[in-house]
Amino acid sequence: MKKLAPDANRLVDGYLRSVRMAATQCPAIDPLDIESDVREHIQRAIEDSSEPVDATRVSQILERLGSPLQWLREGGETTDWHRLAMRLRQGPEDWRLAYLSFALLFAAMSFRPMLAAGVTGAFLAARAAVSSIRLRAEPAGAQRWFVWPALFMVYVPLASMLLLWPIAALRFLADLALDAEVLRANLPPTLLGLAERLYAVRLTGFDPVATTRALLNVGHYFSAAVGVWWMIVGLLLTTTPRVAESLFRPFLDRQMRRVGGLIGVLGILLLAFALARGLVKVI
Amino acid sequence: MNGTIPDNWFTQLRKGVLELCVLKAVQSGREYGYDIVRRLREIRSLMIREGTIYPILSRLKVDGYLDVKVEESTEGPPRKCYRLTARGIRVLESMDSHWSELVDDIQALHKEARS
Repeated sequence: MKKLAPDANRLVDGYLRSVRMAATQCPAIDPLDIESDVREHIQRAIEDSSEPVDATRVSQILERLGSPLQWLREGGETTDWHRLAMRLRQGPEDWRLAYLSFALLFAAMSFRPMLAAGVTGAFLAARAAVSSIRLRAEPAGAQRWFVWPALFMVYVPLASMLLLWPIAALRFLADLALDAEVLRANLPPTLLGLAERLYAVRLTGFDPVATTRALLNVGHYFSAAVGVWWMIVGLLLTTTPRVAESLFRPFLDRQMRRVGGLIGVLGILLLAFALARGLVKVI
Repeated sequence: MNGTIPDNWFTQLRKGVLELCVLKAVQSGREYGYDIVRRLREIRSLMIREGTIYPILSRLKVDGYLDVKVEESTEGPPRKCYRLTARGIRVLESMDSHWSELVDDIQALHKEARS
């Protein structure tokens, strides 16, 4: 038996895998028969080649053999459903995970009871697809249209939460301070007033005017809190970008330092605004 | 591929004649799968990929028209040798007869159309 070079062997193994998968879809044929025929064909075709047989030669042979999907179609062995099933199982470019992600997301959006599980499953499949693409060192190409929706559905709320939690935390503290009788009784008047103003920032009775007014009243406190937090985030992203890159893959790969710098600068500006506003109020 | 022939017509025609071609390729006696593929590849008008023959061989074997003898080889994997069974010979004879009838009838139509 002629020896194959390692990459030629990999080509043959991949081809035989697709033969097995295609042949099992057709009840009228014996998959073991087809596989042994194809192995024999490859060996006969490389009889005159020198050892080890390289990937180029093997590639030419496999090209002439054709894809199993094509031969089954030419020979009338498959129905449209079989071909569709094969396509979903095999490629192009091994898109199975991308298809799964998109299908789960579609199901989650269409059937409310499936929302949480569907989005979770779609996200995990999308992350697996991203890892698979990275391993193959290929561009995502058109696959991204199947994979990105699920990623966005998770990343956008996650990033928003990570960046804006200080606003919610301040609001929560104000709530706590006002609800707890002991705290309310012991808070200095200045802080009590602040807590009341922070507490006023809510969509009570859907009155955007009241909420905006309340927000303007205490906006500099939120600005200060977010500004400080963004400065910390900016510092973390510029010094250890890998953690954030792996969390938000494939977006912002190798750009996290730049993003961290931008967030840090915005944090400084927000804090400066807060301090200026506070100073103006004092004056 | 002739651009004036609808793809579907050609695909259906090819599907119909491939089994006949495979049985005829084995008619003369025992043939290896690779040699059957090489012979049929030379029929340019069929325009098939080499792998197309193998599922047909498998199906014809499952249907009982071909039998297979496996011969051990010192140079590689065992070689499979195909031969028509008695049932296969009868089916080939029917197919041959029907094909000749079809060709004659089409020739007749062709002559009618020309005259």
